[in-house]
Amino acid sequence: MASLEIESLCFSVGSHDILRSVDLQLEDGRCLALLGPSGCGKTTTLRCIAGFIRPTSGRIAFNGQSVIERPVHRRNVGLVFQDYALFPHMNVMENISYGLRRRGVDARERRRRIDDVLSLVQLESFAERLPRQLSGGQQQRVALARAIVIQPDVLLLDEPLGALDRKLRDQMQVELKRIQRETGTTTIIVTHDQEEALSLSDRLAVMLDGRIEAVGEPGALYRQPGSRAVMEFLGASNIFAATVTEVRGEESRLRICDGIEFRLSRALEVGSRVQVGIRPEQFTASTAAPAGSDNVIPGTVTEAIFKGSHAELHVRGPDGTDIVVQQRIGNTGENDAPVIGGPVFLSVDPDAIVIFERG
Amino acid sequence: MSEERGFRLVIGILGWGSIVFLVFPVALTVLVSFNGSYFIEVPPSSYSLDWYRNIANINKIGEATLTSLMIAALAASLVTVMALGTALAIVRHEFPAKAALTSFLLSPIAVPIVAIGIALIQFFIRLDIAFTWYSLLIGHMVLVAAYPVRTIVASLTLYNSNIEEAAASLGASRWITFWTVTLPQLKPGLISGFLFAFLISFDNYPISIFLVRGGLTTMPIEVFNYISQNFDPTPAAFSTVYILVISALIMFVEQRYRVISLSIGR
Amino acid sequence: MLLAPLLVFLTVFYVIPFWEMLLESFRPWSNDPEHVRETSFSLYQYTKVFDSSRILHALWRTFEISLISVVITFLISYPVALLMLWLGPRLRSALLMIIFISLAASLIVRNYGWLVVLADQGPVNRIMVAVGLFDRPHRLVYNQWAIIVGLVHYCMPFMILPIYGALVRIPQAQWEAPRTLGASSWTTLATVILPLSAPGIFGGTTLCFAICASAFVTPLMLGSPSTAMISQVAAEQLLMQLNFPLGSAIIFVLTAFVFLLILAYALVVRKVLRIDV
Repeated sequence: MASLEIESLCFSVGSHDILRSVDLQLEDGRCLALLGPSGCGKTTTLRCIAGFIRPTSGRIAFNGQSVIERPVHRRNVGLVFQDYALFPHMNVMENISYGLRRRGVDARERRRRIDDVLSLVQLESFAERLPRQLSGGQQQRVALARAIVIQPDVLLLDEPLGALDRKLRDQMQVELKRIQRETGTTTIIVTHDQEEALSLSDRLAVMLDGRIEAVGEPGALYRQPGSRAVMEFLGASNIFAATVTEVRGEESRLRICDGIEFRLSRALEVGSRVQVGIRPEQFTASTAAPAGSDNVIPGTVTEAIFKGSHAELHVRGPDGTDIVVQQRIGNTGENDAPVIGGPVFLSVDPDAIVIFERG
Repeated sequence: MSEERGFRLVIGILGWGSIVFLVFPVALTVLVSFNGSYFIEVPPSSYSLDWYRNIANINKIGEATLTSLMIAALAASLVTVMALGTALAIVRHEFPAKAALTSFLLSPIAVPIVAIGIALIQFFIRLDIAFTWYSLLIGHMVLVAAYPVRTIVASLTLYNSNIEEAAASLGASRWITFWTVTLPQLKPGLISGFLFAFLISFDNYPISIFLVRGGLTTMPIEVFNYISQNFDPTPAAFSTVYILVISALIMFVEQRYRVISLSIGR
Repeated sequence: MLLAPLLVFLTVFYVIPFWEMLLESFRPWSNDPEHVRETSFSLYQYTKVFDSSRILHALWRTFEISLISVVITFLISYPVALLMLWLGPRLRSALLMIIFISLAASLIVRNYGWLVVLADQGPVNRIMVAVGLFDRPHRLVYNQWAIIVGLVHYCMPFMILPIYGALVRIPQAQWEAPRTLGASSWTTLATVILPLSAPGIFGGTTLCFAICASAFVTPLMLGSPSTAMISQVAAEQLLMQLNFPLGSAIIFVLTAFVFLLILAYALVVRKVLRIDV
């Protein structure tokens, strides 16, 4: 169990910069999801922490002590590989005891720890089985057990839910959280899947293009992304360019284009150009024109896609932009569904809007 | 980091050392072929090309080499053609005792070569065709039959038969599909099988020594005889020429057909 | 159908001759031609094989030489296979080419190469004398160790390629996972990589053993009459003594022994070491 500090981590291959000064802190016992698209450098960061890659510059420390000089097998890092990498020629018990043996743990202590960890992952009766006799989910739990039993300073999980089917994924999400909480291991989960990241951890770091763009609690990050890049990556979004036309006290007026104006209770700089971000589910779509003309975007429905619990509407705005709207299919009395080709009015709560100044 | 580097260094030294071991005798032979003196000396005290000229003096070398060439070429061709059918049958069809039959067809590789020679000479004597050119050919064919089977089977298993279905849907009959689609895809397997068979037959001593007598002789036999009776470096010159030709041949074939990858694997 | 040509050919020229040879090995030998013609089955030749000290010595020597050769070949081939795994594609192709060419190069040429290297005035002798380990050039050829060197040299490609084939199938994660658990590179090699490459090792060692046990040209060129291996003894009986029955019997004894040994080897590996081959 250790706290993790990463400072100004850089790594380049030739002229290609993969990590451009990555900074990250994680307190002892906490769990962080490192989220980013493919190629953003998250796997590279993971491998730097594990020790497979030597960064060009920067610092990695466990509990304040730098580990960069330490080779992989002396770092006490638990790594659960994407394809689990269980030793096919050893059974479950032997796989799990591998790390303990390397550390010279005596037989009785080994037995005790293995029993404990097997009951933690709920595979008590599987000790004698070979990897090929296990299902995907079971293999993953063994891989997890193998990494945990050595009581690592940091536990690293590489795309843990990627290989599992839907149902198993939901199950494992709950399992992983439980196990992390029970063992109190400092954990980093690397993934490109937003849903995975949002559901697995209580702290999220969004990584884009070799840098950490935002860190915070998932909900907070979702609502206040901090930058356009993060907003566009984390969930769907609609971005509009706007000019601040008026500022009066704590209120501002924005103009997106002819006829579309927003009134916000936020003080902005008059005359500045900003970017306005609105999530699809923040719009309310209706076929009837609402009362005022502020905070409303009129448009024409181009596409309506049924998605189960909600419908996705594509609307062509006045200046031709494509706006994505998510509409809950509720029990509205009136059958008010927008029609393709027909007009629709999108209203939004001004306080839900995200503003990026010079985004 | 350095522990791993140390590991790789040690393995690297051992590995390259072994490669040197592998290459050393041949490299040295080439060097010795330019030896000025009659005896084998390393490093040579003088240089000369005499031994290359002397190759012609190896008893019956021209005739023997020609025989070896023809036998090898013919044996390899016949065997490759037969192997094609066999390989297709093994990979594409089910038939009773398939595993056993397949092992049987591949077994000549594992059987002691001397055994094949002894069995065949007795057989040929009984049939009264011993010591003929044909019996030699048959002997070599038995020897090399298994190799093209292996390579063509390897080629077939790597091969996606969907393209045959595509050809059929485009209007090709089974025969045309075979000629225009299947066969070209099998080129690596066919070529490498032929090459293996050819080289093994060309170089073979044990089978030939049992099956020849009198006028009939092969290149390896004559070279071997020369080595046992003379101590000059002529065989070195011969070896050098042989290696050069073989290397050129293999490199050419590998360039065109990428056959080496077929030798790795089961 | 498709099988027919090869099947027929091999049956006629492979199965039948061997069958005949087997029958031949059951013929007795005596000075009375009548007796020989009448008796169709006798274990005379086989008793002769086990009675003859020369044959038994040759048999024992053959296995001794084969075993030593296989072990040495394995030890020097495994690093090469590992090296091939780590090299970039171009160097690897070049290495494969070298291995291939050495496979294809005539056995006579290769053994001759050893006659050159181990010659009285050859490099090995010269170096040993220069360094001071020898006081004068030693006769390094025409003995058992020269045969072993020649056999190791011959078998290397047959050992390297199957092992490499097995190594290449091991996922990269199997090299990394042990290290995250605290194993050094050497420990990783011993506890994970070696077991996982077992099928290749098994294939390579059995192939090389079979090759060594039936070796003919190499001991002929690099050995002496007192180091004769079993194939030579069999050939002798045939070509010089014209004793076909005995020669046949010797061959079958050899084949049986090699087969049984490989079977035992496979069983030990499978049951005792729990490896899947």
